[in-house]
Amino acid sequence: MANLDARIKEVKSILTSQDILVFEFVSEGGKRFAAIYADGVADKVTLGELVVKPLRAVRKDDVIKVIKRLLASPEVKDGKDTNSAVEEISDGNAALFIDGESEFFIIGLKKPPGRTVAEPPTQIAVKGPREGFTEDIKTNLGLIRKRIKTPNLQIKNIKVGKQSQTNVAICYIQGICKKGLAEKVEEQILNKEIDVIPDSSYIARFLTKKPRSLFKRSATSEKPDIFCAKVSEGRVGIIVDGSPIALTVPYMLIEDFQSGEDYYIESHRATIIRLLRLLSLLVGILLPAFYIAAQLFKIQLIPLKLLLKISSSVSGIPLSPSIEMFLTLFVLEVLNEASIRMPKYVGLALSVVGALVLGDTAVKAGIISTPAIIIVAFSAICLYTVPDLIETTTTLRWLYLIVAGSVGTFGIVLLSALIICYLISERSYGVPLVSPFAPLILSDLKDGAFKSGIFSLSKRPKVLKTQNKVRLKIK
Amino acid sequence: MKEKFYCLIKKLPSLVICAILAVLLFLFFVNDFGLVDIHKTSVVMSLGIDIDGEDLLVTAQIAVPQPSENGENTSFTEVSGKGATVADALNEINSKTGFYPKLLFCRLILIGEDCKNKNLFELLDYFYRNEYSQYSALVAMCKGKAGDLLKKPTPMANMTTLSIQRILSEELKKSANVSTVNLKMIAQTHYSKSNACYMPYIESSAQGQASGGEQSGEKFNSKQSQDSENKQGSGGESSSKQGEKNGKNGGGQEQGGSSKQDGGKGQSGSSSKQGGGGKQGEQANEFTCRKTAAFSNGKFTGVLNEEQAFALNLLKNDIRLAIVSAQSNGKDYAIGLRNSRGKERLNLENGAFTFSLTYSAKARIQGVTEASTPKKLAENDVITKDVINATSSAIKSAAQSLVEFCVKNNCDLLGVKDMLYKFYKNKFNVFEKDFLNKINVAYDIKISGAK
Amino acid sequence: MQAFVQSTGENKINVRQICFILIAFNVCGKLLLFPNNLSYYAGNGLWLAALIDFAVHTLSVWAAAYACSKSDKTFYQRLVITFGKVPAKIIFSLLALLFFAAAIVPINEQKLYVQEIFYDTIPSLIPFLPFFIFSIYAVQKRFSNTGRAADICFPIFIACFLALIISSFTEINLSHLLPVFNEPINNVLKSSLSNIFRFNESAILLAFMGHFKYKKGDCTKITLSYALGGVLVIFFCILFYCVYATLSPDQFFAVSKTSIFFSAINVIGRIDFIVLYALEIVMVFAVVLNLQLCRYCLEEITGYKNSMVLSLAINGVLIVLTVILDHKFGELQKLYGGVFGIIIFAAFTLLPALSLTIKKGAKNK
Repeated sequence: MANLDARIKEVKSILTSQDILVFEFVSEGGKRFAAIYADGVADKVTLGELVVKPLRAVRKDDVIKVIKRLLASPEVKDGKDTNSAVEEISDGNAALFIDGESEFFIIGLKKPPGRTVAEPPTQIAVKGPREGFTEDIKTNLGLIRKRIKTPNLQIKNIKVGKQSQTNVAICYIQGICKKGLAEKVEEQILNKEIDVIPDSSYIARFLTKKPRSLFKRSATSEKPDIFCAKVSEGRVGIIVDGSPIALTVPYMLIEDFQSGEDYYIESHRATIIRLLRLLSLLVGILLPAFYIAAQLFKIQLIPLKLLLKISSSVSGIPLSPSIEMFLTLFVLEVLNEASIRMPKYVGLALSVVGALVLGDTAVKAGIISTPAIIIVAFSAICLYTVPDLIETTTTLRWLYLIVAGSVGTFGIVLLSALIICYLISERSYGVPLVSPFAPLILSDLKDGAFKSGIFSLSKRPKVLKTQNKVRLKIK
Repeated sequence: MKEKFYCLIKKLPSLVICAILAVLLFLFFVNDFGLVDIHKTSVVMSLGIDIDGEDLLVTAQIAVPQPSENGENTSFTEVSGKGATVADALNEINSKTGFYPKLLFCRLILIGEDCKNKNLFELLDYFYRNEYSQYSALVAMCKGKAGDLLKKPTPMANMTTLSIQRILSEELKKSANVSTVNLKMIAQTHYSKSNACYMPYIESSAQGQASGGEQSGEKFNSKQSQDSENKQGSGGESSSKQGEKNGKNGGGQEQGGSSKQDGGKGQSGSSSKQGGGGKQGEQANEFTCRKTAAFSNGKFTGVLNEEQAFALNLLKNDIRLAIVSAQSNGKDYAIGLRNSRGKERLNLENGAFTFSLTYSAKARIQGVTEASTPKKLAENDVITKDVINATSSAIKSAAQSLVEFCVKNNCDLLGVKDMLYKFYKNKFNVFEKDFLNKINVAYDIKISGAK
Repeated sequence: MQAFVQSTGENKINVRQICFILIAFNVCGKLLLFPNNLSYYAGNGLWLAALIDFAVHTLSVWAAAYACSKSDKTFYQRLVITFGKVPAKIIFSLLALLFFAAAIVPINEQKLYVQEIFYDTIPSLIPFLPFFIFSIYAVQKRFSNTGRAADICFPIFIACFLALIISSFTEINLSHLLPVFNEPINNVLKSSLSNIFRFNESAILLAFMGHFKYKKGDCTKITLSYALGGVLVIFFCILFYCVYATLSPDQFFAVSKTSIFFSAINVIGRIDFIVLYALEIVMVFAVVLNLQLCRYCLEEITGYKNSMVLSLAINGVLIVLTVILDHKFGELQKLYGGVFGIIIFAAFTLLPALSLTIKKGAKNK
C-alpha cells in the first residue's frame, strides 16, 4: 500500500523545480488523491473538469478499476514507475497518485503554450493551402493525419536529447517507402547523444555524414501539404517537437526549386517559373562575380556602350572594383542581418538610413558606384526566388566573388566545375544529390527543371526506389 | 603518435581549404598582377594610319569616360604615335598616355590617302598578328589624312568614329550604298587567287557642301563617256556605257536610255560635334563613302566611282533595298529594287570562258518627277516596260563600267580568277595569266515589276 | 580516413554515360587547336584529314567496344588471366603512362586557351595553376563520378555547341571548300598524322571495360556515338574553314573565333564568351578524364586504394611539367606531331586489337 505523502515526496525529490505543482484533493468519500503536474504546460482546466470533478464521487472503498472508470479524460495511461512518472510530468502530462494504492495514472494534459496554425512566413502560397506547422508536435501530427488517412501511415516517436527529451516523430508510408530507410534514419538520430534539441536543424545535422558541407542533405518544409506530398512519394519525414520546420529525406537539390504552388497551377506556368528560379539563382550567384571579373580581367564581356557608362561611373571611385563590390555586399549582409534583428519600432528609421544614406549618399559621395549597387541589389533579390537555399547561395556568392576578384573568369569556371564535381559525388540516403540530372533519369526529369502535367507523373520518382512505383492510375 | 598523425590527416582537407581561401583573399585584396583593368585601360574606338615621312603615323581615337554618377559623361580624344610599324606607333601612344591601348573595341581602321603607295598588308600586318584585335573591325580608306578625319566634328554623333561606323553600317550595306568590309574579308579576297580586295573610300565635306568638289545629288551615267578612276586620280566620276568596251557584251535585255543614281544621302542634321578636345566652334562635317578603293596584290589601283561601287555592291552583297534612278519618257524615276540577287558565274564554252553577271530584282517605284494620282500611287509595283528597260540599262551600264575598271587596272574585284581556280582548276595554269582580258563578259539583268 | 576513401564513389558507369563521354568530351578536346592545325597542311582538305583520323579511330573504338561485349571482367583482370600478373602490370603501366602523356598537350592547350579567352592581357602561368586544385580533387573520383559528370556536361555541350554553330552560320561561305580534293594527298596525310595523337578514346573504353553492364546492341551504340562525335568535329572543321578560308591556320582556338562576326555581338557584346565559358566546364572535365584513367591504372597496378595520394602524385608531376613547358608549346606540338605522337596513337590502336585476342575469363557471379 503506497502512502500518498511518500509518493509525493519521492517524485518531488527528483523534480525539485518549483514549477512542479502538487494538487491534493479529497473525494467526498474521503479518498485522498494527488495530481502532480508542470505548471504552464499541463492544462489545469482539463485536470479540473476531467479528473478532479469526476473523482469527487469516489468512495473510500472504491478499487482502482472503479476509480479509472470514473476518469473522464480520454488520455489515461497506467503509470509504470516513478521514473516514467517523472518523464511524463516533464512532458506536460499529470501523474495522478491515489492514497493507499501502488498503481497510479498518467493523465494526458499536455497543452504547451504555442501558436495557432497559420500561414508559414517562409513558404507563402498564392494558390493552395495556407496551413503551416507549429512548434507543437501533436498539432503537426494532426495536420499530417488530416491529409494522409491511410492506415499505412506509420509514425514512430522517439526521444532525443539527454536534457530536453525532445519528441521526434519519424513518419513514412509502409508499402511505399524503401525498406530499411526509416530504420536507418532512426538509427542515425539515436546514435547521437546531445543535451538539447532546440530545433529540427540539429536533427538535420544528425542525418548527414558531412554536417559541415555547404549543401544540406535533408529537405525542409513548413507546410503540411508539401510534407505529405513528399512522404507519399516515398520519403521519410521527421517532425521535431518545438520546431515548425519538418524534414524529409532522401533529399535532392532540385526539390528546393520546386514549390508547392507548382503543383496547384498550370504545368506550363510552373515550368516557366521553375526555369526562372534556376536562371535567377545563377544570376544571383554569378552576376557580382562576373561583373568584377569583367572589370578586372576581361572587359570585352561588357558591351561597348555599357562599358563606357560603367567606366564613367567607376572612374572616380577610389576603391578597386573588387573591394568596392566586397564592401557593397558586406553592407547588404549587415542590412539583411540588422533588419531581421532590429526591433520593429526602429526598423523604419534604420531602413531609411540603409537605403538612402548607405545607398544613395554613398554613390553621390563617390565611394561606390551606381552599377555596383544595382548588381548587388538585383543579386539579392534573385537569390530569394529560392529561399530554401538562401544560406548556401549567399555563401556561394561570396566564394564566387572572392574567386572572381583573385583569379578572374577562369576562377569562376573552375569553381563551377569543382562544385559540380562535388555535387555529383554526394548522396542523401543513397540518392544522388543532383538527380535526376546526374545520373540522368529521363522519367524523373518530368518533375525536374520543368514540370509536366499531373497525368504524366503517374509513377513515383525512380531514384527513390520505392516499393510501390505507381501513384496515379486511370481506370 | 599514429593517432595524432591520423588526426592531422583527417583535418588536412579543412586545412587545405582554409589555406586556399586565405591565398584567394590575399590575391583578392592585393589584386595586382600587372593586368590592365577598367581603371587603367583606354577604349580605343578607331585607328587612323597615315604616312609621315618614312614612318607610319597612327592616330587613335580614344573614349575617355569622365567620372559621373549616372555614367553619362564620355569624352574622347585623339592621340598620335609614330613608328616604323603600327606596333611601334601604338607603343608610343602607350608611353604618351599611360593607357595601354587595347584594341578590343577598335571597330574601325582608317587608312589615309597618303598610304596609297604602301602595300596594304604592310599597314594591316599588326592587326592580323595581335591576338586582341578583332577580325570584325571595319576597314576603310579616306581622302586626305586619316588622323585629320578622325578629328573632324560631325553632326551625327559626338565621336567621329561613331559617325563613320554609321555610314559603314549593315543597313547601308544592304542598300548597296557602301562596300563595307572587315579585316577578314580583305584578307580572304587578297589571299585568294584573285589577289584583289576593296574597301569603302570615305570623303568628308563641311556640312552643306558636297564632298570632293562635286555637286550634291551627283548623277552618274551621264551621256559622256569618261575614263574611270586612274591610279593617281581622286574623286570618281560617272560614265555611261554605250557601244563597245573592253570585254564583249552579250545577252542582256537593256536598251538605250540614261539613268541616274538617286542621291541617297547618309548624313543630315546640323549640330556640331560635342565632346572634349576643343572642337567647339568647328564646322560640322558630313561623311560619305559611296566610292570604293580598289587594291590588287596589296597595291592601290584606284577608286571606283559611285556607279561602279553600286554595281559591285549589287553583285557582292546581300541587298535588301537598293535605289536606282531611271529616266523614261522625260521623267526621272527612283526605282526601289527588292528580292535582289546578284551572281557571278564562269562558264566554259567552246574553249572560251564566259563570265556571266546575273542580276535579278523586283522593282517598285519609290519616286517620280511628276504629281501622281491616287490610283497611280496605289500601283507602285506596276511599272511600264520602258521604265523597266531604263532600270536594267542603268544597272548594266554600272556593271559594264565596273568590268572596264577591273580590266583596265588588272584588278580582279569580281573574283574571276578565284572562280577559275575553284571550278576549273585544271585550266587554271593555262588561263591564269591575263585572264581578265581573255574572258567574255555577259550581262543578264532581269528586273520585273508586279504582275 | 576510411570514410574519406570511401566517399570517392564506385567504379561503375553505364553505357549512356560512356556514349556521352564519347560525344561531348571527344568533341570538346578537338575544338581548340585541331581545326587550325589540320588546315595548316591540308588547307581546304582539312575535313578529309579529320575524316581519315576519325575513320581509323572509329575502328579502334569498335574493336574496344566489341572486346567489352565479350566479357564482364575488367581489362586488367583479362590481361592477368591471359598473360599473368607481371606482364599485365607492365601493360597497365604503359597504359597509365599513355594516359598521362595524352593529357599533357590538352592541358597545355588549355593553358594557352585560358590565357587568351579568359584574360585581356596575357598573364603569367599563375592564373592557370588553380586548374590543378580542381584536377587534384577530380582525379581522385571514381568512374561513377566521371559518368555523372558526363550526364551534366552533355546537355551543356549540346547547348553551347549549337549556339556557336548558329552564331557562325551567317559568315560561312561554302565556296571556300572548293576545289575539293585540291590538296595533294601527302599534305592531307601529313595533317592527319600530325594530329593523330589526340585520339585515345579506344583506350578510354578499355579502361571502362568490366565497369559497365553490357547489353546487346551496346557495341553499336558506343561506336555510333563515337562516329557522331567525329561527324560533329568534321562539321565544325568545315564550318571553321568556310568562315576563315586561307586565314584558318592562323586562327588558334577555333571554337572562340567562329562566332565573332555574329551581328548580336555588336549590340550586346561578346556573349559568345559566356557560351565559351560554359563549354570550358565541359573541357576541364574532358581534360581530367585522362588523368582519372591514369590514376585508375596505377591503382590496379599497385593495389593502393588511396586515390587522393595518387591524384596528388599525378598532378604534382603534371604541375612541374607545365611549368617547365611554359613558353615551349611549339616544341611540344612538334614532338607530339612527329614520331612520338604516332607511337602514342599506335599504342592506343594496338591495345584494342590486343583486347580482342585476350581471354574472356569466367563470368562474374
